[in-house]
Amino acid sequence: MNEGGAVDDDTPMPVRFERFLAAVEPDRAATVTAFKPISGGYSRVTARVDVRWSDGDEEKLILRMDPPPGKEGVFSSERDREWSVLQALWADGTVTIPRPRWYDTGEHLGTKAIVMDFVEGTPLQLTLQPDGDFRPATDIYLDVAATLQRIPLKALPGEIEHPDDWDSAIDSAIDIYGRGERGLVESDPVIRYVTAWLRANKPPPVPLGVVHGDFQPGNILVAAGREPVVIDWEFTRIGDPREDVGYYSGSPLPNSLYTADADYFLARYRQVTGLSEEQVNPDVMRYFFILGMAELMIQMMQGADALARGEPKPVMNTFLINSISYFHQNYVDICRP
Amino acid sequence: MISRPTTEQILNNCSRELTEVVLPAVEDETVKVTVMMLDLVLRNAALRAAHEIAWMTDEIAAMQAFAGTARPPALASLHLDAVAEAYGAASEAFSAAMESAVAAGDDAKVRRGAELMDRRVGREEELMAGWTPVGR
Repeated sequence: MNEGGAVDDDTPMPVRFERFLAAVEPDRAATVTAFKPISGGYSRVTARVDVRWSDGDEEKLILRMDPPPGKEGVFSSERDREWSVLQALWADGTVTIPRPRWYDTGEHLGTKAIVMDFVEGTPLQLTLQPDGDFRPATDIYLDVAATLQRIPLKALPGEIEHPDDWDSAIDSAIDIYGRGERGLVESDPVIRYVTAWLRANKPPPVPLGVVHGDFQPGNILVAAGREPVVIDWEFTRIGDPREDVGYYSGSPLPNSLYTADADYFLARYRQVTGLSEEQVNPDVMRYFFILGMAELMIQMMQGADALARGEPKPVMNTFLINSISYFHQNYVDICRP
Repeated sequence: MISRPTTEQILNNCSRELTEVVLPAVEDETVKVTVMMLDLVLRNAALRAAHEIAWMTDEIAAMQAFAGTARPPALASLHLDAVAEAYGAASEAFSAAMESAVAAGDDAKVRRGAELMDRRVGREEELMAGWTPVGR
């Protein structure tokens, strides 16, 4: 460690992690027996860490941390906020999540990091086989969606904005597009159009709920004889719960539970949530696909915008311009009168 | 200047070299993904270089006409920065006109604006060079 308490850059992460565990668990020493980075995420640096404690216990942990300064990805979120959300969800217990264990503000690990229990299981997305029967997975996905709706809003921490009513929640979600686009170096007519369209075509309201923010089957871990475990809560907020399911309904992920059988999907969603056909139908899903994409879409656009401003960025930022174009097409098709 | 090979041809040749020579020699999986992304970005850029000035000048006139801009500023030059600047101004005028049309419930005008957007996003699709999303 240097004089400022920061970890030297060349200190191997397993060593840093052992020092961190010594700080949070001073009564027993830990040895890292395996440290395996997990690839695939666009936003956070994640690793599985196997630990043996001096009292003989062995544990598997997940380390989820911000990228080092200067190596940030396209998507960003606040680790302090996520840690508060995880603690609140764990204390509430309505939805099953990996147990959050410790948090480092960067003192030991060099960047903000959350440590949680490793949970055995398979991402629901990986259980989907082309031409398979998607109904069991659809039921799991929508049962979890209904569970999210049962989380009492007062359980969420103060860092999460608690909207006064449905209208202000929707306006706030729409304004992710409005505010984001205004900050870009160049006007984006598609985003301006859909922002106006979202304001002019609000669907019938439903009770506010917890919005996961990236509610796709890849973020639900399943295993036999156990409740599904929901991961990746970095974009969580309070809003219209249809944002989550709508976001997924238009996802380009392969083997979509929605497009495989939209009628079954929507009927089941209405059944498990008690929402009406007026509140849940294909048009409403398309509306919430656009709204639910707001944060990720704007962050992709900000990534490209940074390049336009002359900031050096990883090639991912440029690569994702293709993704922006893909969603532009979808948006224009949905909003067409 | 040496106009041939064109910028499109030069970039496509870089893309070929990247995938046929560099990529097979890379062992690190993360770097492989980066090289593959670079390849697509090069092919995106090749297509842009071939068409962007023509496409932007074409759309500038259409967007300013839709917005009813009485005297749209003339293009300062055909240098890319000047065209992009004019395109940005026209996009802003078009965006504001579409917002007003949606707020006023003017479906006929919105439909006309959507046709302009179809042209815009259609060209964006061409620039994607065959890329399709694979999910996160």
